[in-house]
Amino acid sequence: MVDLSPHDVLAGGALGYMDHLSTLGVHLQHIEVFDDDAHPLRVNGIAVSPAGEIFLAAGDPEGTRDNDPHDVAYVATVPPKLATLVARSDNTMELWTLALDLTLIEKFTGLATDSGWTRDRYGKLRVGTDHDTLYYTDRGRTIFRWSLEDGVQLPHHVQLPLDSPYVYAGFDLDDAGDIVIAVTEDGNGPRNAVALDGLAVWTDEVEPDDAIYHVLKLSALDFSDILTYPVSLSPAGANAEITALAVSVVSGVVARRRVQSALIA
Amino acid sequence: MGATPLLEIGGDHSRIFKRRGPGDWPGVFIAPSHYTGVEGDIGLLASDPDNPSFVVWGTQQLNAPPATDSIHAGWYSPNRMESITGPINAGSSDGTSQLNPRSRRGPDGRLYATGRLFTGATTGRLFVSEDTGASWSVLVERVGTNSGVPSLPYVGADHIWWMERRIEASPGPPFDDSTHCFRRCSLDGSGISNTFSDAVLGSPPLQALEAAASINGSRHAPNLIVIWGAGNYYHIVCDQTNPAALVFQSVLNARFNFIDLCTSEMPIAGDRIIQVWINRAGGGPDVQATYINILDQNGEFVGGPVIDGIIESTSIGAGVDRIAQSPYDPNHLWTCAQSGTKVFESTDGGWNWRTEIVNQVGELSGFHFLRGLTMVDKNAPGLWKLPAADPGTPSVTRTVF
Repeated sequence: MVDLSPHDVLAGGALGYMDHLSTLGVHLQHIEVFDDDAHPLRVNGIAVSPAGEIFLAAGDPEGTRDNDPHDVAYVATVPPKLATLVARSDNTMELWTLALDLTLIEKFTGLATDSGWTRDRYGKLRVGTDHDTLYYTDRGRTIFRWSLEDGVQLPHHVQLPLDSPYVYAGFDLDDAGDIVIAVTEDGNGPRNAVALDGLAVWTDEVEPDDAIYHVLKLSALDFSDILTYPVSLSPAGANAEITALAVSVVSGVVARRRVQSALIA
Repeated sequence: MGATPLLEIGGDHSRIFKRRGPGDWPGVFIAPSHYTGVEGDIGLLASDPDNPSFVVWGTQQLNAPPATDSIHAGWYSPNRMESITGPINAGSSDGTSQLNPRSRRGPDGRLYATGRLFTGATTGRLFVSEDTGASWSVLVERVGTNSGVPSLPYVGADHIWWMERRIEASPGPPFDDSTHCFRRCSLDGSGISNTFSDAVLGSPPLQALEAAASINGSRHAPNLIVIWGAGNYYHIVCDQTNPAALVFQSVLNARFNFIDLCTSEMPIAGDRIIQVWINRAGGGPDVQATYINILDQNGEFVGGPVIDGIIESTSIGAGVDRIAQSPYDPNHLWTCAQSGTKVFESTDGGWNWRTEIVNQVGELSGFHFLRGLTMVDKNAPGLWKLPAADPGTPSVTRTVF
């Protein structure tokens, strides 16, 4: 069970666990993430509904399953649903829509990916402010778009030059439709996850100088440091790269709610 | 964590690399100018503090006619390093084309660079760029039989100074003084004059200041300029206002091969000159040791040597190649092993040095200290904000973590 308050942060990455942090970076709890056979999973994506429900794209760390959920997004349609980016073992990308009880609504196959994409390059997914356009990346040079209502691929949003040293990876959208995106290919910088919370940006780091992974809270205005929190994403103190971040949103009078984490495996 | 306050960048034959701190070499990136796939040589220039992301580099293409030696200038943009100018010294060659891949920004804001071509009669050129490297024009052209304007020019308040070597006499003035000359001209390229030559210096002759010679100014003593010849025995210090009257010349033992120097503004002891020189064991090719000497501005020995031990190479020209001082920390000095993968770093003005192995980097040919540069390479970390209206142009970036 998770006691989730507005602006709390969920950070996935360690095998079998997810971290729950306060907005001040205080570690609140470890949340176990195992499948029905008690195998530990790694959280690739997190979505939090306005009602405070937590949805996870929790993948097989061995990469042996046919379908590997890379990210999940909450779609505020009526009724609401989930959109999930799924990497297939044949290195193709699919989009699945699910009801909030995780029953499958529809599968869309053959999503556009960057040339040479393989499933180990994790995709990220967010919903546009129109609640129809899905934006996704595959850790390549393109931010792709997909129309959820029409079920068709849209022209890509933006594309890096072929020789760019960056990649489009973890990202989030703000209310104006602006995108904050992690572009680190190698070296120490954010890559896997971005979560916006008003004037703050939460993001990860890869290849940290001191070999201790951190979660970073930056100013959304200029990306200056607000908080750097070393993560220890398991009770045993495992030091793992963050792969997913989400911020609990404020909705109505919701202040504190007990929720059950749900898995998509 | 947090923004790195100082980035140090260097170049080798084909790459530009960066260091974020001791032991932290996150990688290299291939200079865009190195498009031929043939090894060249990169010289780097950090621009003035108001323009920290502007870099000039040159490539020297070796043994691959037609020559495409070039000087490039570029900006480090959030996306990548953009080359904004192309080859400026291209020409056919028999494989011996050379370009001194060096450039320098003068106090007038213009960029100056030199190059030379071996195309029959050697042509040496002094280039100038009025527009921060977007285009270049020839300010001075010197035609000789061996070299023309080989040295890195020093741009003073009123004159451009350079050293040139002319092994064979050229017909007629102003080319009638053969051998090795220290020259200057006005900033518009006019009034080329010979300041002094071998005859002034006597023995050892000025010929020691050959192709790799260069000239440095002293920020502490603006009129003072220091001339040195890489691979030779001595250097000269003179005053710009009366250059023929030497302040001093330093003559080293012929066993030692003078490599490079920088002028240093020490916070306590005032202006100093820091030399790098190597022991060639009797003038032969074997490099036995590398030394750092610290002189005051009168040429008096103050201290050193402080690096010793065998540098790994045994070939002529190997060993320590450059020495430079951080403009942001006068005590921060770098020098490097040309033929290996070592950088020697001092953070106390040259008295004590530490060695750092740089596996990613090959032969170092130059480096500079930059602050606030958002260096872009294959390891570029970053977080961008992409506006909905123009997602291709990040409105907020952070590329140093």
